[in-house]
Amino acid sequence: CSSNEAPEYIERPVSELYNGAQDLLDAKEYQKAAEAFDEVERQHPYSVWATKATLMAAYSYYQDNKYDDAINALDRFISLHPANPDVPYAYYLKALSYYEQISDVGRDQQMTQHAMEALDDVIRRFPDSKYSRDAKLKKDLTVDHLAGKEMNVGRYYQDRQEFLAAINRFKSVIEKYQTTTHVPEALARLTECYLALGLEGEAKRTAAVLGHNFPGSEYYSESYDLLVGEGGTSRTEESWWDSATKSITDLF
Amino acid sequence: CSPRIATRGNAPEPEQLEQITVGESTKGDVTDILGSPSTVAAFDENVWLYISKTTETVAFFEPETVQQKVVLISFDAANRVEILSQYDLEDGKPVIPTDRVTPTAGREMTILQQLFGNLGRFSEGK
Amino acid sequence: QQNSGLIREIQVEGNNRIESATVNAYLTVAPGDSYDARQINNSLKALFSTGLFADVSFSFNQGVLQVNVVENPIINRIAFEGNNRLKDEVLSAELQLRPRVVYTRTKVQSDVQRILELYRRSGRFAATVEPKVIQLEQNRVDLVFEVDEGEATGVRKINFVGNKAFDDGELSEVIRTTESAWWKILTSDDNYDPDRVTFDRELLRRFYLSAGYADFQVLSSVAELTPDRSDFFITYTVSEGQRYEFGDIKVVSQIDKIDADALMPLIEIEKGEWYNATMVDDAVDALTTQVGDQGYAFIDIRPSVQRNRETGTIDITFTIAEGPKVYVERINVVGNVRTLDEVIRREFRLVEGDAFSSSKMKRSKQRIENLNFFKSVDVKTLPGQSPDQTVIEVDVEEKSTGEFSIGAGYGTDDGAFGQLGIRERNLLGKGQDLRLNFTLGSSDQQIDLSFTEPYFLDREIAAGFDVYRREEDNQDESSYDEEQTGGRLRAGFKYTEDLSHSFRYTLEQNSYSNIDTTDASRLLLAEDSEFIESSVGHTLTYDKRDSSVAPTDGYFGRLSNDFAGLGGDESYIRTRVEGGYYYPLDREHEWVLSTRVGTGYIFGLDDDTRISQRFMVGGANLRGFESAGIGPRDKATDDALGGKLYYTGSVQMDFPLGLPSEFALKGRVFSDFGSSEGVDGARAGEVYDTGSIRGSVGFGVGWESPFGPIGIDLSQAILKEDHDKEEVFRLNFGTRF
Repeated sequence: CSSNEAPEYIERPVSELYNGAQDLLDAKEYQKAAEAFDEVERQHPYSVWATKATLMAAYSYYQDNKYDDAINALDRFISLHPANPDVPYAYYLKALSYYEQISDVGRDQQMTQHAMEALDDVIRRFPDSKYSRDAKLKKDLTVDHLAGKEMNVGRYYQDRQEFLAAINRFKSVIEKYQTTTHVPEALARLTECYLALGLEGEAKRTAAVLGHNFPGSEYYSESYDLLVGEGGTSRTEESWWDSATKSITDLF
Repeated sequence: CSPRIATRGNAPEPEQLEQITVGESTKGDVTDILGSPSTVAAFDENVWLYISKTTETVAFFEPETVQQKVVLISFDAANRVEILSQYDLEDGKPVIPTDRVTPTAGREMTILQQLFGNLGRFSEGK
Repeated sequence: QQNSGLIREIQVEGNNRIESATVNAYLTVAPGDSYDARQINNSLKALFSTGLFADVSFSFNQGVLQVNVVENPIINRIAFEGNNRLKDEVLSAELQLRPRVVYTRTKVQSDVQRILELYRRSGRFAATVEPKVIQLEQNRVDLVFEVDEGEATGVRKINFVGNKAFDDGELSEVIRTTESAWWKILTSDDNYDPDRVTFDRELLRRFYLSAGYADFQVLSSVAELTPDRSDFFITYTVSEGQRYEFGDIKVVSQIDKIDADALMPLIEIEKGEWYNATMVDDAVDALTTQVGDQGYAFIDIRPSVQRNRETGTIDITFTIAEGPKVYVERINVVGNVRTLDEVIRREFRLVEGDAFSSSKMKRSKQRIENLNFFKSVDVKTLPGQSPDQTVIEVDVEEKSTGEFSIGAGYGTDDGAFGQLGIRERNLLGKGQDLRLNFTLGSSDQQIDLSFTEPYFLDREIAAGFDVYRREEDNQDESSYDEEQTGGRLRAGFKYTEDLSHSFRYTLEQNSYSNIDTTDASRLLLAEDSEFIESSVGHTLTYDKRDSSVAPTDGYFGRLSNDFAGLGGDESYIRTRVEGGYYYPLDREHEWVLSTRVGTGYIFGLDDDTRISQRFMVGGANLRGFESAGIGPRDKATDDALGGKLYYTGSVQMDFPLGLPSEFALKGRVFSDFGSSEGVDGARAGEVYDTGSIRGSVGFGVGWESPFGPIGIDLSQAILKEDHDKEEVFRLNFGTRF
């Protein structure tokens, strides 16, 4: 395999180093490009190139999915050059570095949390920069993702008929994540849980809110049937066969 | 072999409920006697719920809910107890939850990704 | 120079890498403010806290505030000299300073300390580190750490003062630190490590408390350096105090609904037994779980211990009192980057909204750790919305659950063999187990794939399937080879911690091949060589042993039945029963007396049993005889035919060979006995089938080597038939690395 000890330490003029790195970046050799930009900064820390090189190194690491290295380089750039015109881009790229590491709702959401905070940084510090519009868009997605996590746990408890735990999880979606796409489902499942506990009044009131805010959603038509009881009966007994096949399909 | 008994949630004792008098006890009194409510109704802070259940599980069979109690306490505008009602297992309806799930982004890990650990990009997953 | 009036302008001098705009950004004054010493002081502090500057000074005249800074140099390269015990990567991973980062004196000092700490932890207390700075142009520096590792500070001698009940030898077995010796290459426990010495004090305390010495105290643990500074003398001074017995045990309940006397049988402590602190803790756990299961949530059980010195007894009263009423508001799982949230949450004995119980939380943490997916599992409680609510946070740190194993070995029965295995215990983070194994040996080859879902139908049922293909060479035993290709569906369940039950359906295609027609037994030739077995079976296991791999205490029993006949060509019922009892004679479980028994019976329902279905006795399950060395045998061809009924038994004493425990070398003396009888389809006089009992005695050595278990046994058959095949020497070792 290729020998990977550090390239031997030869002094080269800064412009030659920088252009070499830029060519590597254009050739999509992200790992080598990142190392080359680092070399520029190391050999010529005082040249104007060094400042740009730190940023380009971060961008190369980002393209190479090396998010931690990208974030470190960006933090260094922000602390060394707080007044630099490229600082908004640095904050934005840092937010993207967290954003790309978000895992699905079944797993740990700490990256989603970091992404949301970093996106908030961009929106708050540079409201009129060209990055804040995309940052707002991505922030809504991260918030929606966090709501998805609450729903995931809520469904886990509902499937095991732990209605109290499920109710609190669905309620937290309605209260803390009102603008997300999960609210209709949360309201529908809340109606189901209240009904399962025999709280007809609460079930009807929740279904009414669902109908009022999301009249067209399938969740509302299902909850309505459940309450009014026409086609509802089909949804009250699950044959043994259904539950067995469902859990087998869950396997894969 | 004997079933495993499990109790869930907050089950107020009958003598505790007797100490609550309709029209008089305030939210503070109820909290002192029963503790914080298991949950507050989604769209009405004045409706408090104390939910509990007991299940019996025999070997590897489905756990069977043998007892499910909901104590509903609603308060009037002056924060005094207006209604105190209880619901049992019979009141509950056997509801099959909808299997419709709001889609979320984020890539499911494939076997290869797990083996080689590079989890790729979140944005690609959408 | 007048230091009052308005600041018209700010000039920054001495900076070349840091832009002036950056310096201004950190200043707390701006043009137009009036000059104020306190603001200047704040700016000074702000600039220094950035760590970018070696020196900052201000001067102000005629309205011009001059900020002169001396920038800290940038580190160009970091190198280490003189380190061989700890490699460069290990050291640089520990450092705060990196190439291209700003060099500051404080950071260099803290990095020196970090390196020294690393060396101390690997037992080298005499190490010294000198940082050297080489100036380069453009205000850059190269940083070199000159390391002198010094000698490894080992432990010359450990001695104990004030111990009367147990001698130094017994106590040195209790503590972890051991005296340095040349052959202790595998362990670093012989290096001096202060944390380990403090941990030793805890080990001593627990040991004495569980042996009846309630007043025990470690007065001091002193480590003096030897004059040549290369080793330490460690001295533990202890005061044992009096040995106590259990006095009378009482359970008192302050909650009228709980009947205290009903709980008495739960406590396994008997009056007159030596006092033992761990038994008291176990009793508290037993009471808490029992009361918890009865639905009382907020119970606090405290043992109050009254010593009376004259009678040398300790009375214990377990008081059951009302605990604080706290409910679980939320359970948050963090750190699970690969494992799904539900795989962890389903192990939790508490559900959101439940009454909080610390014993349930402890059990949940234990269950999550037993998954063996995580390096660390940290479960803590955080304050909830209201005082009587709490949030439980489960913080896990995952470890790799993929296993790739290569093994090789040699066995007297099956000769040399190689083994390759790939396994993923947490497939896709769903907690499922997928395993693929290849075995290639001189006498048999095998490939099998197995998959298990631990929570089938969301219940604690471990269900899965196996697919396998096996080729066995039985030429020298019964002059035929056998191929089996099949699949199995299985499900298992644990009724209690010790009682588990599993069910299986197996479908297998069998074929005999290269039968040596001149030498094979007539019975074998009479059987058709292709057949399909379709069978259902179950196994009930009760396992109270301290370990299933190397048991030294406890007992186990196993019953399994198989019924073949649901389709397929074969129909038989096979029953097997197995059991074992392990009795340690000493506290360290080095002298262990063990007995094992096994019996089995198979009978064909509507046709004869086959050779490959009958039981073969000899070799591993009856030492002193070759594999399939006893039991029914064809008089003409001398081939083993297997028996429909078999029983085997063994009595064995394992004992230490006096070598220190690190060697994990154990001797054993044993006697095996057993028999096997009953054949289908044999003509009169065609088969030796006496069914008489065979027996052997022998001794051997077992070594738990770092490469795998190795066993050598020499045994002599004493009860035997002259047509049996004996075997004196038996060796096998299996290595997995």
